[in-house]
Amino acid sequence: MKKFFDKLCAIHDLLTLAAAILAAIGLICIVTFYVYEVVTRYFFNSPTAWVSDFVSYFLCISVFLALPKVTKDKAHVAVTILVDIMPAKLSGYFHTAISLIGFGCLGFAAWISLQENIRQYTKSIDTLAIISIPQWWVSSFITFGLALSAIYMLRYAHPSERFSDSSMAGSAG
Amino acid sequence: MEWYTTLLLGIAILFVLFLSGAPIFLAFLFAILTGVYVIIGPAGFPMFANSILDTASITSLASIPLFILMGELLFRSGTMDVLFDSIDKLVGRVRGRQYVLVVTLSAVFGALSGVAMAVAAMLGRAIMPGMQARGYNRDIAAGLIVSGASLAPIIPPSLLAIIVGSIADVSIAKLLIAGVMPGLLLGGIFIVYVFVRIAINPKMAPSNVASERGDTSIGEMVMALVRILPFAIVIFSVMGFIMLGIATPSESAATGVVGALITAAIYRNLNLKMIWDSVMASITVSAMILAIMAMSKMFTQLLAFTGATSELVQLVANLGFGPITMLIIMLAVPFILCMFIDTIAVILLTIPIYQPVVTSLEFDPVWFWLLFLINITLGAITPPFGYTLFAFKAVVPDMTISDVYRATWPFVLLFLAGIGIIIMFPAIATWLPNLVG
Repeated sequence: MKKFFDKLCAIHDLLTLAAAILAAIGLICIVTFYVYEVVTRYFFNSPTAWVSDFVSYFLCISVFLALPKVTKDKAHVAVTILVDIMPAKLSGYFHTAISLIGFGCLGFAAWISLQENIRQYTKSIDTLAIISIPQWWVSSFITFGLALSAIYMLRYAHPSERFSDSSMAGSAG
Repeated sequence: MEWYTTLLLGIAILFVLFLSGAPIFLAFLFAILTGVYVIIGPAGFPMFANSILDTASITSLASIPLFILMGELLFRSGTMDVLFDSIDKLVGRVRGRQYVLVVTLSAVFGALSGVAMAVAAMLGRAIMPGMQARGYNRDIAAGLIVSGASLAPIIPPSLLAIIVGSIADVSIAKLLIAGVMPGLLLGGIFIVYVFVRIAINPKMAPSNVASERGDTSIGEMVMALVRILPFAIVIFSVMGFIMLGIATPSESAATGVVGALITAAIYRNLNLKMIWDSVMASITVSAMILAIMAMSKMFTQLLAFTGATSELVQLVANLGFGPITMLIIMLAVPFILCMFIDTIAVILLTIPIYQPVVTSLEFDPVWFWLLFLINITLGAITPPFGYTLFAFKAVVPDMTISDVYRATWPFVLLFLAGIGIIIMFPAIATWLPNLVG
């Protein structure tokens, strides 16, 4: 049984890595699109109609493709000051509780998003843009990112996988 | 349930979740899912899914990963070392020259990275030991590094300015440009303060300036100047392009990435591994920030749905306080909040509430949100829970956190003085953006 779960975890990790690589490629595409837009607009007086829309699609897709890796690396910003000064056992329980709440929230959010993907697909809803595409093409990545992150939260609820003190304590300032 | 009960309950739940160590984006997710269920009911869940899609697809937010990528490329390529060395050569042989060096480097590194914690950690590691060894006052040096690093989110390009601008619906280009003068003003205030301290007590800086650095010939100074010239490519491809109207802030972030690549190539530090590592680091940090921001729209919608937004505006209008009193109250709240919770969380929590109030009070949006930005930046260096303080403390093991707190307080007061000046003379913030149009 343990072997089976280890294999599932390995597949989960592999999917996460592949998604992060795609997210990075998405970011490179955004840079390329924008530079192309500036060059064509100011040097050739020929602005594109698609760059803005494609950047918005790629941004959303890249963010949610990278989200599982952020969760895997326990790199989400959090205020851990109180947890850090708690006795180790108590903070361990806190981490498990937070992981389970995280799993519940992310899993539920993924389910909501999936329902919306299905609705968008069945009703053939397109994005409101100059270059419109089926909305589910973009929003399904939100479901993917939330679902894979939810699974990490479940994995981290296990005592052997609890957040370390240094984790989840980044900050963007 | 009355609107204020809902609002206070929501904020209280969020606060407890923040302090419980839950990732901030999870705390918001929990509060929003609960809020949607309680306030709107299950029918509101599709709204939530669409609000995530809407926020994560805002084109202007693309500048966040792009500016992070620009900073990563500059740091990872080692080009910052060139800048460090050159500025060191260019700062003259004045008494207390290392203090001036710290402020100058903070401003330049801050401008290029936009992240206060990174600058505080880097300068703390690179400069602090040498300053202590040479007899510089430890407290002034520490306070100066921490507060100098805090110029990063003010001097453009600034991630926080983009986040504030996009949530507050104010021109990001104007907000970015508005940070130039106040950033320089604050840097100037720090330098004046240091020289006053040295004038009062000469022991604050070593007297033998020559021992700190050998003679620098005119030729060496010219070479130092030449060596930092490639950085002008980065600065021009960002700020120059915005000010000349060639590119939007998001586009200028992309041209800034190209500028950083060119700069790294000029210094012969460009390689594929460095580029790939920078891209991977940027996208993961960006995902972390944007995951929190993806919750912002639904949070605003929930506030509007409960009636909290309109009632709050009504309440403020009926308070009868003058604009200045209101301004001070509105700046004091995030200042205090930032002492305890993360900057982005404070931004997300307060802006949707403040936005209609700012409009009703008829404040200049660029001026107000810039003051807000400086204020929350200050929160990150204000004890007890300032992230920039922790980043600095982590690289200076011989100082206790209490030492760092003590060193920072005078600079907190200087920051407040700077904010006071900008309140009295709004043109400091608005002149440059108005010039651009």
